[in-house]
Amino acid sequence: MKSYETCLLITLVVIVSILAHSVQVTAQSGSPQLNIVIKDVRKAEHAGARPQELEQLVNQLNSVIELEDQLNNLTSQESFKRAQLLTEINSTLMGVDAEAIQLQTTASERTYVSHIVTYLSGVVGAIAVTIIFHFSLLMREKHRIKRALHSKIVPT
Amino acid sequence: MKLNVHSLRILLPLFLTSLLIFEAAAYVTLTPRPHQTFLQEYALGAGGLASDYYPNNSTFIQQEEFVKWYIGVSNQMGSLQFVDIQVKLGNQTIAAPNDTTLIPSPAPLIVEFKRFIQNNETWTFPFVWRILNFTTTATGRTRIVQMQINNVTYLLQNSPTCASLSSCGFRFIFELWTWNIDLAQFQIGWWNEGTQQIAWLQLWFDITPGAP
Repeated sequence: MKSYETCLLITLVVIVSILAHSVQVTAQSGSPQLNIVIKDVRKAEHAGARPQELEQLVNQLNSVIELEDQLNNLTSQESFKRAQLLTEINSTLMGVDAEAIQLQTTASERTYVSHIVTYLSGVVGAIAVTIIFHFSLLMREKHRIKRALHSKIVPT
Repeated sequence: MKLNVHSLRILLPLFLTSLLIFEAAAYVTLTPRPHQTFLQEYALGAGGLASDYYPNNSTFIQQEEFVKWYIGVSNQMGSLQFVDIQVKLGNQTIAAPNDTTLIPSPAPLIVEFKRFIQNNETWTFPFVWRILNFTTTATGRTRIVQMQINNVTYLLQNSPTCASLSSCGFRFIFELWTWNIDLAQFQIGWWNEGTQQIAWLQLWFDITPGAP
């Protein structure tokens, strides 16, 4: 029974250390995962996401930096805390990435619609100007005829 | 309303002209105006102003004496930036960052401050430090061995030395690094229209023997 427990403990330690190492490879500053997240947030920004919308993502990214600072201050003995922090960093980054992709879609659709509306308002404006001008011409013509009909011929 | 050929001859060019004007206005409104992109780095004194950088207005700092500065970065790059302020400890002889060759200072790195900054946003953080311990070597050279920055103690193993206390001039060098997406790592300065630019600050101080 004792040897069984020892085996289980060793297995657990090995799994935790492997997990900690593998997560560290993907989550720390300078990692490909962080780079992908930054890229996606920039894409969302480029697509026309509003500063207020981006603020939430930026706050979460800054919380990742704080977690990394905590991680760097851990001693080698605190492997459980390390694994916990790495999991938290990874899940935050995944969450930010998912939100950034969603925001990118929403923002690009909104920007597209906004562009269409702006250009269409140009067409509407041009039509309005033409109609106003046409009616003003008609009114002027009517006024001219009316004045001609009401005019008197005064013998000199 | 009756449209005849005469009316069309007037209205069609009018419609086309106003359409051209309105669409040009729409294009101008929707197209972002090109502007110079840059990052700005600054240091302020204890009161958050460009004054009172040193206690009693003296650059001579005693052991255990607190010095408070504020370091700030303003982002005008037009996009989100991941910045890293690298704080290095230099002396009079160690090279500062080179603005032409874009080589960072070889002074030893003490601490880094990282932050994501949105466009048009400014990030300011306090930089409170004190010298906890310094030694004089057998050859009479002075070296800071222990410092405290923002309540964290740093043991400085490769810190630069000065010839003597009376001729000592140390400096903090604050280098601005940004995240390069293509390289997936931090680079000194930033890229602007195909050229790399850098920003850095230095604040000098001297050590004076005193309390405690």
